Amino acid sequence: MLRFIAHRSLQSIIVLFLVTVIVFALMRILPGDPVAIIAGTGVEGLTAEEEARLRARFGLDQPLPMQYLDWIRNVLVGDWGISTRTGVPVWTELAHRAPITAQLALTAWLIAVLVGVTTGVAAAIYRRTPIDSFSTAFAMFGISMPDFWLGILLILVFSVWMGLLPSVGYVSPATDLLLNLKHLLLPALALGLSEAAVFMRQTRSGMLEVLGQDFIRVARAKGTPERVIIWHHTLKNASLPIVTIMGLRFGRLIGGTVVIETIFGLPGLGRLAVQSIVMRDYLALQGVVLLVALFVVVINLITDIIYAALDPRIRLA
Amino acid sequence: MTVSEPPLLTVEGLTTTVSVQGRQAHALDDVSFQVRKGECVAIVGESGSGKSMTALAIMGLLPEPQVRATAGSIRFDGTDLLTLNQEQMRAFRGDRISMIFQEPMTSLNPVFTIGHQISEPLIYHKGLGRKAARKKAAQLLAQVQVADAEHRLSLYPHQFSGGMRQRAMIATGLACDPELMIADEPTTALDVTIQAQILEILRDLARGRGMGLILITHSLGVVARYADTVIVMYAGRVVESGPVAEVFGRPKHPYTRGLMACVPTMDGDLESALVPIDGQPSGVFDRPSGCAFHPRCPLAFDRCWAETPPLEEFRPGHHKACWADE
Ligand SMILES: Nc1ncnc2c1ncn2[C@@H]1O[C@H](COP(=O)(O)OP(=O)(O)OP(=O)(O)O)[C@@H](O)[C@H]1O
Ligand SMILES: [Mg+2]
Repeated sequence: MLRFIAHRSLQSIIVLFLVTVIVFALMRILPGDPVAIIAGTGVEGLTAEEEARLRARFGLDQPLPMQYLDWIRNVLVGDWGISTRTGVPVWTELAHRAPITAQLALTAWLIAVLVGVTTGVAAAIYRRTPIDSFSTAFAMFGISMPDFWLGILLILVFSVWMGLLPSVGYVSPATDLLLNLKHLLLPALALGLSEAAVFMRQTRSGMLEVLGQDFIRVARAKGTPERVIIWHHTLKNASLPIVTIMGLRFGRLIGGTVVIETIFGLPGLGRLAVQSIVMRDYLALQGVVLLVALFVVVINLITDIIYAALDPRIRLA
Repeated sequence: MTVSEPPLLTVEGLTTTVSVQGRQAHALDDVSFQVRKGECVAIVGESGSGKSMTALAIMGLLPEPQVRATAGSIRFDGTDLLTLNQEQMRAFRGDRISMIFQEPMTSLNPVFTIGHQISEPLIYHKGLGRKAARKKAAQLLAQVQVADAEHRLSLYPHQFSGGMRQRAMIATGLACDPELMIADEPTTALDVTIQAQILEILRDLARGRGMGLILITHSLGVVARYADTVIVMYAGRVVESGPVAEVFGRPKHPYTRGLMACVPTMDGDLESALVPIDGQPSGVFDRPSGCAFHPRCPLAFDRCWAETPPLEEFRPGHHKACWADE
């Protein structure tokens, strides 16, 4: 088990390294740099000399490999650089916004797993009944509907028509937990429901497969209560692929926050990413991507560990 | 076993109907037999003859709605099991009647420990706590001759060999001290020496506890060695039944005789499977009219394809379903 975790951690470090290289390279491929954008949009209009000075200040006059190494070296000692857009340290900016995105993503994920697994189990148990058809239709709907569209729909129904929930904005849970949850519910639903469809389909097919196994018939022959057979014997086996998907889909879900945060006006990392790209705020975007990648990697590591804990064939290997 | 005592299990006229794509057929047709306390009843017959289905019908585990019991009764200690609902039936399963399946490799749940799986019937039926159940499980595992049972309870199925898995299954089946145990080809998947050990354990436990045992097998060698009574099935019907010595000594049905002819020694070779005799066995939907065996029967005459022969007792305890009388 320890070896397994060590192995996975090593893989994660390699993944993180690749992510830093890629985000660094992608940002440089975009035309223009922060100084050019500032110069282009700035009111005062910079001279060529001033631009060169600014570039030197941000280290943009260095060769690219040097810039990359500088960034990595600084990040490793906790210095994530200064945002060229706001002049505030990137780390401060991240620390403000990360909790919002984390809360959104985790809530959405929780909704996805709870809704997906319960409807999937129900569809499998009541196979070929209206419950199954309804769940399957719901899944098709969830999968084929883009989450931004679902977000707009939710705003329309719950905020505009019914006036039940706020449509935009954010309140910190420290200020008012209830209001915070109210603000988060719609974006989390928009993000979570389409993922729920994926979990539902996996749960349904996994449950059906396990229900057909010999050991389930043996469990019945032992007089095991049906409830225990479903939620214990069957789901525990069916949960192995579900846990794998939980890890895999989390990356996608984080990606979805970019659009959802924009629609719902949540000041999270997704919004920061968009603003940083527009302003060619290299260090800020690199910081966002690195932090998000770290988050995804940690979540994947946790799901791997859960998987191993669930499956003795891996745990004891 | 005293003959005067009422039988533990009386299956009478059991008929199951298979429905596939609007077509219906009787997979089991008018199956009748009895099992007494401490008696080992063997069911033999070639593949598709309905042995497993008979077992599943007793357990109330027929794959409904495709297969249902549509006629007859299964009386166990005064109760007709066919009239029970799933919840009532569940109280019997694993407690008073237990079943061991053919495939030990897939019969255990890969994500639970052996100890948990043996404990389950004790927890569900006897209301034992986990600790007490585990203690009993260790005794049970030791009883089926698994060495170092205490330690092995914490292992998972993938750490068990086929023979050990089947012992664990038997231990599970024995947990609540059932009155009837059904073993559906419990040793087919195992190698020969293990087969003998497992069957001996089963027979000895049955005799020792006065437990009825239904042993489903392909092997007449197994029947001769371990069973008291034998039931020969063909195409969903019982064609001959009786005490082992009687049936082996005076086989009456041409099918039984055909089987015997395929077995050179009656008491030796455990591997002597039922070698199919001339012709092919038939599927549920294309069974021959009358006596289903008539196309393969050397004694068949016109009545055999017109009318189905009933199972009749022609000597004390010895039944046959055959028109031919020499
Ligand atoms: N779910 C089902 N749907 C349709 N037909 C079935 C079903 N289950 C069993 N049958 C049919 O019922 C008949 C009896 O099957 P059963 O499994 O009892 O045979 P068996 O004597 O146990 O054979 P084997 O020696 O191969 O285990 C077979 O012809 C089989 O094809
Ligand atoms: Mg069978």
